Amino acid sequence: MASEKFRQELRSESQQWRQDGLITPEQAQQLTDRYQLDRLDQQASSRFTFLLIVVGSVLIGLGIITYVAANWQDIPKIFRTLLLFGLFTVANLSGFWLHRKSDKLQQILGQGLLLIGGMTLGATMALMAQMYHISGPLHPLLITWSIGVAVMAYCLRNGPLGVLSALILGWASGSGWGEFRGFAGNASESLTIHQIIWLNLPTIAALLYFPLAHWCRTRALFIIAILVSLFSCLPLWSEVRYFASSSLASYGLGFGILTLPIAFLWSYPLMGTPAIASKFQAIARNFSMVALGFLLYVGGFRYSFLAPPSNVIDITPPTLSSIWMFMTPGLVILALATAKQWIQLLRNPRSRSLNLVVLAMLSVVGGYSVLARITDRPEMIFVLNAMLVVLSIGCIRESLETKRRSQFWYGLLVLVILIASRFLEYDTELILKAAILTLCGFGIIAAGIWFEKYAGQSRTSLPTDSSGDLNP
Amino acid sequence: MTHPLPKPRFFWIAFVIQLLMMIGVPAQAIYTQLTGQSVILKTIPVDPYDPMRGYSTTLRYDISDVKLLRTLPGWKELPTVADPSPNYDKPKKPRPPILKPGLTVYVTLEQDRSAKPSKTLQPWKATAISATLPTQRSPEKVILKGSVNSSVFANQFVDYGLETYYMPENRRDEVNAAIRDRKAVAEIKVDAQGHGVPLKLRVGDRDFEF
Repeated sequence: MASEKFRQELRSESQQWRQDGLITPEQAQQLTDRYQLDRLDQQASSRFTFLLIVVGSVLIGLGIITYVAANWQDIPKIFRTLLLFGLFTVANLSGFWLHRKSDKLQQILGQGLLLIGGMTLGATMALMAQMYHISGPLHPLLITWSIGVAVMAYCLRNGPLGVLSALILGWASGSGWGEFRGFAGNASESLTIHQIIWLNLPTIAALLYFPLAHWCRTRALFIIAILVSLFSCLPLWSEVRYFASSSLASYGLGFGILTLPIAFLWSYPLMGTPAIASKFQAIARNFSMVALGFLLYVGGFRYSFLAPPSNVIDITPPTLSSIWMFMTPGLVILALATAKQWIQLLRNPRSRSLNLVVLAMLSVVGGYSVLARITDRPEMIFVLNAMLVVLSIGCIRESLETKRRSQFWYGLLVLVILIASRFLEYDTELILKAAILTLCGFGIIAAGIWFEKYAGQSRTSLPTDSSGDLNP
Repeated sequence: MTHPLPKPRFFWIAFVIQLLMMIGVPAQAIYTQLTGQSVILKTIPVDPYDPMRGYSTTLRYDISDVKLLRTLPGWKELPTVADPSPNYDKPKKPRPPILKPGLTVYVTLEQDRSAKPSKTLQPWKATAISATLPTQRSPEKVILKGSVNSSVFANQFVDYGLETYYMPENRRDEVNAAIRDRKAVAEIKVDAQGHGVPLKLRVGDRDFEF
């Protein structure tokens, strides 16, 4: 099916053509049938209803959870339990029943009820924990809840439930971050299953949601799954210097957790139906570039979580290094998938040099943060900064060929932030700082105006994708 | 986006899995409540908030403090590690060793027979500590399982899974005010494996059970 924007333009154009006598009424009707132009309004309104109902359902779900949190202890325990179990059952059953109807509105209502059902699952689990005064951190509850919603999403082949589940998993990742230093110090034999899951969240999020996003053809789910996966890398990245410190295996783990997620996204294969496959691949690549830019940028500082910890007073818990071994299962799976994809990528002569540059950058940034502990070479910081410059200029150059606005602005933004950061970080005179900041400002405005003009000119001569989003 | 309709069978599978997850959360606690033995512990509370489970009081017990546990028989046999935190006062001198973080300990509790019977409930006393579940048991002794908290190194304490007591938002201030002025005890239940679950708080002669 052609894009909605195209169909809307086609509808207004075809009416004009018919009035001007360019096409016959029969031909206009053929166009209408072929592109289902008569259903445009209906689709737009049903999408609007869908959004309203989804937002409403999420609010109702949050209301239920907050109500539980407020401890409604005036109602006897048994009624509270029955009420929530009842709500859970009613929401899920009616949601499932309505979702299977042929009527569009009923389907959307059903979807909303299923979302409420998913939120009620969390609320009921929280109530149970509250009623029996179960202490301990929040992330195990969130992980279990997220998996429960994911099971329902798979069983019903339901994208919105997948999004809900992914968001809860992201919450679990963030919530576990605060508790992490605590349990990272635990003796290895006392790690719980949830803590092991937490350590492997980057891979688990990918395994759980990428197939579902393909299966449901939900772009939003794919984007959120990548975001959750990368977000759950952050706590592990920020602790790399603590675990890549003792043995060869620990260096391997440190190198793997830094490079593999990005390498995997860069080499994301074309999978599924052609329309979805290229879109998903482009999204994965965009995110891998953003993540690589982030790592290079952070590594470019003299003192960062990637730098050797020589100037920080380290309180490394005594049993910390053994904990990290529990990251191995996720990393091995990720490594195998990544290796397979890269072999295919490098066999293909097309843009092989670009792929090799990305591979080299990843190896350097991974190697830097792992080896910095041993070698501590200050010139490495210069190398990382130089690579970020190459990355940003590469993006700008590429954007001129592909006419992709987002890529151009990303490259420019990275360049400016990089320059500004270096001048603020190092002890330069204020007058020089002022001059550099002003120059950066002028530079951005000039480059932006030039690019918009350039892109505008070539758009008149070339048919290009002007959707302006993340698609190529 | 038209997919074939999902089969009801799959819906029911997911539904049942979710039901089991909800029942699974309190399963251990229910078992402990049904089979466990009641114990009274001396407590010291503070109050936090959690977005999912609401307001609660964080309880510490006299037996949470390693300083008290250090005096018990069996302490010397527990595995220790070197304290990694720097000694600012005397940089040359290493700190005394600490308990291995995350270590599971079993604390033996006994009713305090020396105390005079009074209106308020008498807290139980810890009489022994070990790293394994004691094999010799007697009916007047209760074994409580705990784990050494790993977030602090110096001034360690032990978690028993009894540290959180949830309460209604509108009665939070009342409970905390009551606890602040008087001595509080908690009634808990402990099962044969050493798992504990808090039942109620008693402050002076008032009971709080939520």
